[in-house]
Amino acid sequence: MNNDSFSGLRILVVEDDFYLAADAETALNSVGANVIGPCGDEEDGLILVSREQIDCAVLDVNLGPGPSFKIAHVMRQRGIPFLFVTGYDREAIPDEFSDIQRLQKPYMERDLLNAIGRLV
Amino acid sequence: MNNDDAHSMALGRPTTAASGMPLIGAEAQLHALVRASSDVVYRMSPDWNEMRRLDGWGFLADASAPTIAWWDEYIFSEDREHIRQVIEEAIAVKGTFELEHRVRRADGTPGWTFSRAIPVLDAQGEIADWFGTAQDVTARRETEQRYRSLFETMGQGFCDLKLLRDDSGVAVDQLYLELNPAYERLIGISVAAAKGRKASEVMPDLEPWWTETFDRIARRGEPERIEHEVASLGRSFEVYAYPTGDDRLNVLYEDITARKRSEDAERRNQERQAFLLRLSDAVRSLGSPGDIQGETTRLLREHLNAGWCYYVDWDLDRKMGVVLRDSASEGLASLVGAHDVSDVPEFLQILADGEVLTVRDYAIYDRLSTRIRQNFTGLGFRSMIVAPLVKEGRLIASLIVGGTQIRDWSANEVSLVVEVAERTWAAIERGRAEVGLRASEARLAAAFESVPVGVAVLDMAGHITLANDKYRRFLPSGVMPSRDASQTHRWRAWDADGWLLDPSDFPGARALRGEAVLPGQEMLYTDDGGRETWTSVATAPVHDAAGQITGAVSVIADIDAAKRSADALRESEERLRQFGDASQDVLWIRDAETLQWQYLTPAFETIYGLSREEALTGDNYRNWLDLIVPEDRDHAMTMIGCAVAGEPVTFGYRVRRPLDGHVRWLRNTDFPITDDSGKVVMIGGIGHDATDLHEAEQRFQSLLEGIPQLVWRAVDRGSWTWASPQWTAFTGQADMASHDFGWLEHVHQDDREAALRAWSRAVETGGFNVEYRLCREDGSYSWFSTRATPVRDDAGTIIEWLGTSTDIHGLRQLQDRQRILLAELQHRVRNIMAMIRSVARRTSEGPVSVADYIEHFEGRINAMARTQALLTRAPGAGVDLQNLVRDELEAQAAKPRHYNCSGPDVALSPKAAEVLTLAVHELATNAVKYGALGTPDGVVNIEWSREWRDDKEWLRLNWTELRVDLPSDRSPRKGFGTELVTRRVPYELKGRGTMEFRTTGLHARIEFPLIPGHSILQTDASLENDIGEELPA
Repeated sequence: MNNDSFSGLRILVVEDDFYLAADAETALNSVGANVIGPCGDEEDGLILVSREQIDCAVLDVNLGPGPSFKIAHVMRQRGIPFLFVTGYDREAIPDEFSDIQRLQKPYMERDLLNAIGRLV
Repeated sequence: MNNDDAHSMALGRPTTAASGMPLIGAEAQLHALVRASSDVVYRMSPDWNEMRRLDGWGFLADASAPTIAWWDEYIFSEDREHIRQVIEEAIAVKGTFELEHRVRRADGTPGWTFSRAIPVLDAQGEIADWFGTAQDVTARRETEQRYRSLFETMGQGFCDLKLLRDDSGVAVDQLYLELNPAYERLIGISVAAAKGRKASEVMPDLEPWWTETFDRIARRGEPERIEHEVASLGRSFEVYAYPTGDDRLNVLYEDITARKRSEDAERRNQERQAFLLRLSDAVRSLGSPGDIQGETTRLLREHLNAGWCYYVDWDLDRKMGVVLRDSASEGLASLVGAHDVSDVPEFLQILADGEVLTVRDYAIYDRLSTRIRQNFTGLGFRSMIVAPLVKEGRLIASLIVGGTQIRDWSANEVSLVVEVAERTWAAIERGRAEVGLRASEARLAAAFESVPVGVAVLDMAGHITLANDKYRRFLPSGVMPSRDASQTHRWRAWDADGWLLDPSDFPGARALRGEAVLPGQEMLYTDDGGRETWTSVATAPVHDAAGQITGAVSVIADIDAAKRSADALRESEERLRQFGDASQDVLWIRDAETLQWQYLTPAFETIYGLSREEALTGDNYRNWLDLIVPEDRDHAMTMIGCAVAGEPVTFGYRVRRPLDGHVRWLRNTDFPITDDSGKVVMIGGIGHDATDLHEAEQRFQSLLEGIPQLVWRAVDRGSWTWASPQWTAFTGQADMASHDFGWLEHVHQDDREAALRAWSRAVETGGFNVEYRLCREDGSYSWFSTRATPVRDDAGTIIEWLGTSTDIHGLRQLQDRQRILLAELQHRVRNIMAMIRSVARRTSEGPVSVADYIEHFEGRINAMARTQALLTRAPGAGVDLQNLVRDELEAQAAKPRHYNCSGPDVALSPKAAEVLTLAVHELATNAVKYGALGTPDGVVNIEWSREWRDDKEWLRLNWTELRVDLPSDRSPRKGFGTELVTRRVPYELKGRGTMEFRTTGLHARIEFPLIPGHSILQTDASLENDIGEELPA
């Protein structure tokens, strides 16, 4: 993975756990990406999506009240690439998102960066 | 202590071997090395008898002067021999001494050290001195110990194994590296015997499946969860295999045998239902008791894999048991025949008491006398189930299943035999009723043949359904002349005015229009030879239960001679009497005015159980009405009234026989008989005894209405004709409303297509089986398994479908629930793992020693664990703030005089509880280390309040430390706790957190809105999910 390829990339991070969000932010910042967020709930995520220019996104499937895919729907409509981060198995992801990469928690930083590399 | 001095003294005058380095330079380097290390440093004499110096750093007691008592000081007596041995080996080779061993610590308690010493050689190459360091590894050893005890005590079996491959890379065996005692308990092999050995050595008959599966998981590199049954152990396991790389796997085993058993029970129940359905399908078309016994016993014996199955009819008066047909497996004797049971009264008595006999082993079964046991064992029986059928207090039959081996009959098997016994009895009874009915038809046909006139039953097309030869003689084509143009010319008749009758007014045509032509129309018949014969043709319509005309009865009497003879009339009457006498049905004629019987056939006595003399005594219409049960009397009177008014009627009613009090079901057709002027002068009646038919229908109906399923009948492609009361009770839809496709309204909209598709298939394949949701009366939906079987006529054509819908909602819901729970468990465990990893990493930020790291990490994990314990103990309930704060302070062993808690009752959401627990934990540990809880006079005030801000209720919590003498330049540490309070609180709780170091001590403030939040470990994925919605998996 060539770290330069992340330089200036605007990546939205949606993750309700502070530590995991902060870890992702640190990892992405360290390779030169600009993190949008991170944010911990669906409403804030949707606001960021509507306001910010986003190149790709890392979405936690469960932001507290069970699995939800509202942000994923908006991303898909806009054609913005994204990936899921989740503790659930593949079956929890609806068929329409079966082509979306899924990172299983706990994941390694390296895996996250590789997955984003494949996205962009 | 001045470290530099201490180390200089400890080192004394170091001597280096052949390094050639200036002495002072080497010594300075050594000093620097020692200063940089936090290890204990010691020096020993060449033979280790004397310790020259030891600096213990608080871990071990210092030895500032040479001592030979160091063994006593530092080493526990039981460890000395082993340590001495290692020292001697090092001395012998002038090599490094290296050993992890127990030591007596400065405070006298045992600890663990990793000790390493190197010999310092003089110019001659002899040992001059030993220079050693000793590291405190007590904490690591304890952690290892704790890991070990968790490993030893966990309920799940754990195994660390490595796959062994052959030259071509195929996994062929497993090597057990590590196993825990639970593994031994679950799998049944000894840990001591298995550890470090191959699976093929320890368990030679291990299924290859295990190695293949582990190979697949190792190759794929993803953990997998699998259920597997080990037949040889009779147990089922849930196996969680986690590949750790290099062909190694960690495998967790959970014994799920109990869960599997309950699933098996459910499956057995379904198999039982399927068997019973198959059984009823098989015997439905059978009529004779022998056939039913043969089929039932064959199916049951095969299903239970038993040696014998037979059904005995007991004739207790003659002390006989009769077996018509039985089923015995190959090589075993059939029991068909009559058996004398006069010598086994106690056997019959047990059955007569209604007790089901279950014999596991006849050799030791002491409920029965030796003689009876010998009777059975003599035939080869060893085990047996006997299900008695006791009806109206009388033992009438038994169903018996037996085997040649000792057998533990399950409760399920026993109850199945009992149920099949009942069904067999019911099928035989139904069969007998049907046979009775057919016999009565046969008798009618025989009666037809015996009467001297032509008699026939005609259908609506005028075709003969049943006729005797004397009738066919007049209708060679089998069709009545009014409906057969080729035959019309043979018949001529004239009306009262002498006009030739039109064929449409012939008696047959009139009967099919609903008129009775009685006593008859005179007609002239011309045969092929041109010979003319005078006949009298009497006809009457035949009605079905609904009053529809279904055909006609026709009587053709040859009156050619009578026309010319004075005796003709008497003869004719005689013939009618003979016909009446022979008929199984009651025939009567009443006077239309008095309603008194003028004619009554002998069948009356058989059916009504009363002699004709008695019946005809006095007002015999009154007598007749008195025989009718009171509930049906008014209806019968009304019907007779209709006949008097000129309308033929068919109606049902019950009579109670004076002879024995039995109730009979009768179906009567009464018709008016008019004179030439059209006035009704007489009422003719035909009464048919429909008791057998009625009872058979009644039994069928009560069976349909008695079973718990929703039952229905349908024709064509799902057009319903009847729905059981269970259907109405469940859906609220009346029977009539369900007819045709009305039932479809109560099928879930999304399932209707599937239901109709199943019907299209059913017509092709002759079977119907579909699962769909039905709407309950209250609008909610439940899943039902719906099946139907076709009822065929003798030609094999489907005439009707009989269907049942079984509620499988509970089953579906259980399956869904289990699926959700599994997914949630995975989600939670993976989130906890991710969080622990993140916390572990954060704990390691900044310069920390291993001991500090372990202490902090353990403290944090424990605080998280306490929250989890609280939340899982009462899921859904809030966490009390006061308890939370006190628990954390007590976990730090803070004394009550050091802190004050005050504030209102607050129940925290799981998320808030989780964050706050960890926050208070961090504040408290810091206070013990650097603040009020570690200062003799220090005090922590923790106070909180609730307040309204912008329509939201907020919690504000202040943590104020007092009387701590802090250096004024102290700035907040950018540590774990600070990040937690100032960053995690805003992120996860949408609140604020500040930390401020005042001169009197730390002041922390945490504020956040009290809204229901969600723990990373909690989820709202509902378990009460509405039926039909996609469930999150």
